[in-house]
Amino acid sequence: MEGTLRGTIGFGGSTLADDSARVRAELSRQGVEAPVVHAVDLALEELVTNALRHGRGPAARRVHWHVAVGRASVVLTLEDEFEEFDPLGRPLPPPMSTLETAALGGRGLAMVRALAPDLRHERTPSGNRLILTVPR
Amino acid sequence: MNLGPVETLPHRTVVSLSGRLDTLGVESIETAFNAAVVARRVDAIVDLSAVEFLSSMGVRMLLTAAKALQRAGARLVLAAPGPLVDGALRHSSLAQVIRVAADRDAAAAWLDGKAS
Repeated sequence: MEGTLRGTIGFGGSTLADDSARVRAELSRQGVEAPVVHAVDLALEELVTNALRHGRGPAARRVHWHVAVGRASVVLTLEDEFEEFDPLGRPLPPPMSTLETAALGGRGLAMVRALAPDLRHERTPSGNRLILTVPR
Repeated sequence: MNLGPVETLPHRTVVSLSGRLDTLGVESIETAFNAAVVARRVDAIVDLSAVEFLSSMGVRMLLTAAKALQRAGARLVLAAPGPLVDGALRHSSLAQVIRVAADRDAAAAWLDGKAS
């Protein structure tokens, strides 16, 4: 591994905007290619927002994140303390077909998986872990 | 996130967005964007050339505006997205229901019925 970065978004931690900026700056500083930075950026935005918005459980709503930069890939790991929820356990919404019928929400995971299909969910003793691997 | 200059032509609105159209960005501009684009109930061109990042919340904002304009008998066209934003438009499938033009001129030509 060439470098790691970690933080906490939400209760007792930082804002998503601040940590997102920190991740982008550090990945760019380490020479990570722009499309890879973008994929990690999008995943952090969508997956953290989703967890904080929909996660059930403790009042201390937060997500811990870790980014590991390797020569072949960048790995983003997210851990929360919410009840079990596997976002991969649900089918992705069908693509929009008409403006009238297009659903307003639910596009985030599809956008993430289009850029980084290698996304896994694990149940931990205290919550959920999502592991996203983006090849370089 | 910024809402750039708004051109209020008689039958069209042209507006530029710049910065990150993410959750925070949408929260900061959605009210002003809707006031500039949706409230006039005329066709609109939204120039995305200076947008660096588009999340699902940004997709939702654009889709909501397009739906509202459609109900008013008007159209919304997106113009000049950079490669990463263009990818987000395709991956979200928003590009399947909202016209995405290469630039403002192409967007205007499409609204004028001069392009396919």
